[in-house]
Amino acid sequence: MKTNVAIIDVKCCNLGSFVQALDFIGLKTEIISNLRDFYNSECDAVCIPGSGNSSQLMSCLEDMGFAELLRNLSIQGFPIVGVCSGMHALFEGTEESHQNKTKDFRKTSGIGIFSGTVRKIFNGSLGVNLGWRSPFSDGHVNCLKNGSHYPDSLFYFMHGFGILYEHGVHETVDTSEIQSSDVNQKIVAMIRTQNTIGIQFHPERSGQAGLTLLRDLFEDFNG
Amino acid sequence: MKPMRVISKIDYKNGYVIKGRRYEGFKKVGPVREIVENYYKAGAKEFVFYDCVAALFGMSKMLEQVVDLSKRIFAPITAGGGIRTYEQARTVFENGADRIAINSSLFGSSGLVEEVANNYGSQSIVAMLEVKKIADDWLLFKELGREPVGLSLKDGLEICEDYGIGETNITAIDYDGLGSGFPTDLCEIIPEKYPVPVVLGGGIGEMHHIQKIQRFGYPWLSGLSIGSMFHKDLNSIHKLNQYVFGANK
Repeated sequence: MKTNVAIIDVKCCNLGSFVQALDFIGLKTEIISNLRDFYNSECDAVCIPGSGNSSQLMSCLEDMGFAELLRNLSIQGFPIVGVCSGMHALFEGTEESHQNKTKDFRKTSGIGIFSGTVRKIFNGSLGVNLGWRSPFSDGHVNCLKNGSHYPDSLFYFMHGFGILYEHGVHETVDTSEIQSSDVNQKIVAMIRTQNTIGIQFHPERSGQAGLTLLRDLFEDFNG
Repeated sequence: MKPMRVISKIDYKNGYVIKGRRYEGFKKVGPVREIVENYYKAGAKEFVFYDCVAALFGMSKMLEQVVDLSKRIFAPITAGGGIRTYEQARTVFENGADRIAINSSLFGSSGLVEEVANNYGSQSIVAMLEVKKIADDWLLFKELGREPVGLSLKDGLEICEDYGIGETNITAIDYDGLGSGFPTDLCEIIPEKYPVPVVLGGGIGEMHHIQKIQRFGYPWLSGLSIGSMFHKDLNSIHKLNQYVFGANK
């Protein structure tokens, strides 16, 4: 099991709740704010937590040199976990702009480990997917190899941007149906390629089911 | 149909959960750590933690409590009361809150909302709209219902939509703490296609109050804020979860 987790602090995402959850399940956590912190650490996994603006996050990771590092780590099979906007940063780009008020959806480049662009989810009523959903329809988690099973488990989603599911993606995915009054969409709830995992929902805020998923996830990484 | 959210409203002062009637005569319910842990163990899935002293006098010990709670309960926490600057908001996020709740800071030119949205995303902000019905109009209040904002609920909803706020949490002050039901005529103010998720609170004390609101089928309704119902009966948490999420939740 990976036990020593470096958590990237990009100064624009909530860290506290993620750190608390990993501490609670017995993982050692270390907050890293720059590349030197990473190279000096003894971490065996890296996390990008997030409930933030994915455009801002992608820009911060690029400026801090973490984007290139994460690309290289992913190729090497070093475990990486991105949550919510941390997951978004692992894709090719985002339409969520710096200027939310003007709704100027300029695309910002992401790290590009996963294919696809983060887009606004439903343009109609309730442009935020907020609340408890079941991302694993039969309880089975495609993205975990150890046969983890979460029947009837609900997880907390809180996002206005996400990845719309498209058939033919080469990564392993778990999807979730989301509904507004007149639109149904399927979004990527969890995605994996080798040892890089993206999670759209917030396992650190999903009660016992979330804590169990986090523990299973860190046990699931190869090596 | 997606499950409705149930949010446990925790009014806080100096280490205690407090509860008033119509935002007056606040009494202690119990020590905050004990109350919130009990609610979480009983199945409460989401919390709004509002520091009533800070709302009047500025942030005080709220942060210590948020850190403490976030180590014990792994449920979404919205924290607020007296958040007026970006640095204060950032500190609240860094100490374990998932979202911040703001009231008076919405109405002004401090730039707080824009700065938080640009860094943490607009979904991280909850607008606490506290309202009273005065001469057939629902009007906004701040500072624990003591000061009129000078705007109507309709104005407040437009401000939230314009900002792209993550959630509008509306409390009917004159019904709060009475457990006699929520004034559903307030809902007529909210446009049917309102794009911001809305949470309603104030007066919800029985299951039939909840069923009455749900029956309208408002597409903008994201959840309900529950205070005194849980304070009076811990079992109501489990009963409400069963109703919303089905058996065994």
